[in-house]
Amino acid sequence: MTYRLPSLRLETQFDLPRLPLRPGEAATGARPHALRALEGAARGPHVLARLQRSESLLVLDVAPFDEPLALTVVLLADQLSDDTWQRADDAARDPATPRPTAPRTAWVRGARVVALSVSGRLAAAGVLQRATAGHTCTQRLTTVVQPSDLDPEGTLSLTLSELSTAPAWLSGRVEHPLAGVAVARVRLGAAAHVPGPTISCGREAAGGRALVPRSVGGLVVNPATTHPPTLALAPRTSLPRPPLDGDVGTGRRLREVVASARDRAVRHATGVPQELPLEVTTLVDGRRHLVRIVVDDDGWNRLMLDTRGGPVACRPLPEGAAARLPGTGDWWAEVS
Amino acid sequence: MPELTKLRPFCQTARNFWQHHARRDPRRVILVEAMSQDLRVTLRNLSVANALSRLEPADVVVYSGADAGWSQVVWSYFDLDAITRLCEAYGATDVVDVHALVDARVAGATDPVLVHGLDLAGPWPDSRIDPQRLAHVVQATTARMAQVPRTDDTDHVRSWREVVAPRAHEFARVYDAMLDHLDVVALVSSHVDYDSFGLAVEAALRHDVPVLFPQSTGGLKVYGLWPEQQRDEAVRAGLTTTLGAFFEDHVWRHHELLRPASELTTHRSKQVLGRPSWWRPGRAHSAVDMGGPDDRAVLRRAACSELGLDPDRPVVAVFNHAVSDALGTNVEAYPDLATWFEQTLDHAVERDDVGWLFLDHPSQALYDSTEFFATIARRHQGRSHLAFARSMDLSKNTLVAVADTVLTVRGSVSNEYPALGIPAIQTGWSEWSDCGFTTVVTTPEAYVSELDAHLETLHAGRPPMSEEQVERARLWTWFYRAGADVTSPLVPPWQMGQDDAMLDALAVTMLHVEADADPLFTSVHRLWTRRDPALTRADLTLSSEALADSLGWTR
Repeated sequence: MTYRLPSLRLETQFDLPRLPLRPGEAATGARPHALRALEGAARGPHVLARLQRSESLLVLDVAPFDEPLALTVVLLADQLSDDTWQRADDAARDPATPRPTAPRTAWVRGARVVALSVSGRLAAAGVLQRATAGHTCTQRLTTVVQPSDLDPEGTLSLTLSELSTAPAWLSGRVEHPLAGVAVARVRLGAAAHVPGPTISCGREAAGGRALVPRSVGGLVVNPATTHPPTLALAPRTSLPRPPLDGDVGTGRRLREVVASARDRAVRHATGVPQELPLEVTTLVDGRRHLVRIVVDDDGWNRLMLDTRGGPVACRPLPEGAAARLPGTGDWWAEVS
Repeated sequence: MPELTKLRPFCQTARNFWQHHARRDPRRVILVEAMSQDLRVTLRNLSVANALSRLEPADVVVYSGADAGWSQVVWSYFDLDAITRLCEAYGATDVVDVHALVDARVAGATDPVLVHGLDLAGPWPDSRIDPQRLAHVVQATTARMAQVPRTDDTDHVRSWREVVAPRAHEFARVYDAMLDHLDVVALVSSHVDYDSFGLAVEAALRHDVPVLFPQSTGGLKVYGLWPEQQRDEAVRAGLTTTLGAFFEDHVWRHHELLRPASELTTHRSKQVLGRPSWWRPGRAHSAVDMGGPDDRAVLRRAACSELGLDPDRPVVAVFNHAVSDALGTNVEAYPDLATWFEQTLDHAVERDDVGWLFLDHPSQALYDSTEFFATIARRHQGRSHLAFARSMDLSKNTLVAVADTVLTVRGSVSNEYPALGIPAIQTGWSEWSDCGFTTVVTTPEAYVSELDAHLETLHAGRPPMSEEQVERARLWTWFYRAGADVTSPLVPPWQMGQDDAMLDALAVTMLHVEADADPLFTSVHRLWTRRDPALTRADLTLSSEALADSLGWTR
């Protein structure tokens, strides 16, 4: 039994009122009442928390529930989080003489993976690309929380941390995987909604399909349910380019024509590979194995993943011309 | 030093301003210390001196400088030219480099150094300071310069003592000469410790001259050391008792009225607004972001697991001091801070029924060259009920989640933690130690006995401090950060820094704002005429109704 100090009085008259998170509700920067404790991160007006330390803990007040619920954590990599990380780091390095100097940007190159644990259990992992000026990277991590995931106090503890078992290609070149990352919001799904598996690859999925960029090289599949998910991969150049959205200018249309022609040339040069080697890493323990997926008639490579141990990282390893030509290395990915 | 491209035009503005807002009388002087490298410190001292001159017309005489020891050990950018320029702009008639003067005297040089008509290089008699007191100042200064927890006979310490002792002798002699031969209204000093600062303060109080003691934080915080209120023990002892009495008579008396304000100050302190944690920078890392005991329990399990402590048992947090910092300037149970720490550890080794978290001071690197903490920590590795950590390696959240009692000699943790219901045992006096929210012991025997009794209370599940004590701690937080922190546009808040932006803000005030009823002037008037122990933002002697009006509250 955790020792409790009888005289403890942390509350003040000015603390936020306690409003437990209920199914269908989200904790956000503007509505942070459910966030009861925050460690290793700073609250923000527009995000729930900007991460500042190598491990961040969010303790959420959740209304009691007795059946599994979907939990979605929206991660965000943006410039302000970079700066926040850097300022916190500067203060820790030189505690005696903190200086209000302009922060430098946190050092991030390539993609990195951030682990999300629920009550100590690795529940999901998110792949985030570096935020550049004016651009952000958003990833939604969905998992299922059970009543047994609640702390003895009835709260839900979410930990964001580095993933030591991540394969090298997902480790990026970063000060720390959490540098420049914020938790934008945490949403508790409605009780009736059972989420399916999701993909995280540094880009947001549209219509259930995500584009895995060559710069990342792979993706993470977050299972969300015990049902084994099926991952489908296809070279980007093997499928028609999606139509341009909205009112785009002539220059953009011309570039699109050139890109379509280039894709056709790549398709012609590579043909349709009959097998795709895929490196699969179980992120809970870092176990790694190589599988070869046979292509289906529709040009997609499909594989049923064993996600009983939690999220897995997958990295296509194309061979021959498919690995060399410009425009190759980007993949369409779907999971079901 | 920060880039100060606007110091020269600012000084012109300040000169024009103060020539009409201060009152001078060459027959009397206000002595002002300007021995800090930080211009904000000197600016506070000068502002207080000029405000006082409106009540007690006098010339301002500044003693400044830094010797090789301070420049090597403490300062990184001391700029005497900039300080002198600022002092002259604020109307100082004399600015003497007292460190250079003392060095010259030690070397036997006899070139005259005239200060307000007095040749300080002359053959002045020895100071009349109590030799024990002087020896103590020499010891404290030697420890600080050598960056050691206590002075011993090692070559390193001896070499520093050989430098410090003759200099201290000359400092005392020069300060006595000034106070003997000048008509001194008051002395304004940002520090009261060590030879260069402390001996001036000692001399002033011995000559029945009040000392105004501005603090290097907040807006404008000033303590008053009044000769008639001094005690024999140490310079700060009188301040402790007078502040305790003032708090009881004029602050606690209004506790019901002030409760919403003290709650708000505590709330803001949890978020590190106003930096109540003296030594801890970093917003989130130094914030207390948890709502109540349930949240604390979750964080406690995680923190104890990392520290290797049992979350089910009470944990005592022992906050090491910057071990060579201002030794013996108040009443303390042990001869030095290191001895307190070592003897607490000895006791902790025996008491394995609770967990003990020993924390090193965030700025220890500036105060200790002996690896005092690391050596002790290495010696006690492997005991499961003891944990050692650098304070800044742990967040404030972690510390608050783990600590069920805090131990300190005089540290600010003994205010911060009681305000959250976590009791503190002090083995020395501090500014707040007479305000009734900490347990204060002044002998080693009383310390051990009080500590054991306290641990029994924790084991029994009884509250180790009362609701009233929590409220008192919160009220002191308010008093420290609001009631005794004066906001005047003539003294920009500390957090504004000491660069051009601060000078710009100050210049705008001096050029465009009429100074009548400026809080700098009204608060110094109240402090001086009433002999209060602290500068106050409002007249706390008023009735609660009138105080509410003056604080701008709706009753």
